[in-house]
Amino acid sequence: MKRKTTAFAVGAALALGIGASANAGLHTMFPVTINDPAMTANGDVSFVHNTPDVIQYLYCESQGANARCVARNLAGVVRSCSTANPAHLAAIHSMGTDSYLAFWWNAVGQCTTVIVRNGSLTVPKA
Amino acid sequence: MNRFAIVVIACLGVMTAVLLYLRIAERVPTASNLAEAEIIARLDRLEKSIVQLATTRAGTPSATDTATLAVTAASGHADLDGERVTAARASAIRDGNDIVDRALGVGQWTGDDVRALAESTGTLDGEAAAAIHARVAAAINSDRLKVTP
Repeated sequence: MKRKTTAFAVGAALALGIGASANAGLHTMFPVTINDPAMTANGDVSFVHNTPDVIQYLYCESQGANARCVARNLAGVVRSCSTANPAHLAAIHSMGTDSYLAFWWNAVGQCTTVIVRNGSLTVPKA
Repeated sequence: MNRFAIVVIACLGVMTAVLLYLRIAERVPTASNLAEAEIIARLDRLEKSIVQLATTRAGTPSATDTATLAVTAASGHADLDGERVTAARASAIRDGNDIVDRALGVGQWTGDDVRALAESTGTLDGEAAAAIHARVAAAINSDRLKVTP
């Protein structure tokens, strides 16, 4: 019974992308997740960087007054959005190597929302 | 003796008179002197006219016209600069859209395309650049463009 409970907890944590490493603190481990019906993509930049596959990537690139965010999941699906929205740019410019990134797009490829989270939750780049 | 003295004095007087006449004659302008002065004056005026004409043709306005010419020149330069900026912007937008159109024709978005588009949109304002990049994003999201790094 105890073994079953432990297995369930580990499975749930992996499914949620949450785990605890040898270092203290709660860490998220979000791979690139693309949700086409919701028109959104997200993931932990550093976790994606640390994955052994050479397929996933997640980044934003900025030219100062405009920027783009791009994500490719393990299935090789790529999604992207472009923005010149000052709020989006501010979020993108706050990105670090260990950030969590989520972005939403519309039918014409514009970013509708950009979320960047910096903090202790993500694992650092290896 | 007295007669000799009188003759000497008379001679001296005549000589003095001649000398005085010569000195006065030297000072009084003659007809030729007047003509020479007139020619010199005309040459001076001609020289001034030539200098003034040369200055005007060289584009250096007189002090009176400086303000007017400066305003005209400034607005002319502003118009030219504005036209150049507009033309450069239109050209950059056209170039950027050409890159996207070419990629859409092939169905692939390569690293070279990324670099070329970034370069062509580098001088654009954020909105214009973002609009072109949004075309790429929309094509990628609808699987019309396959990203090949």
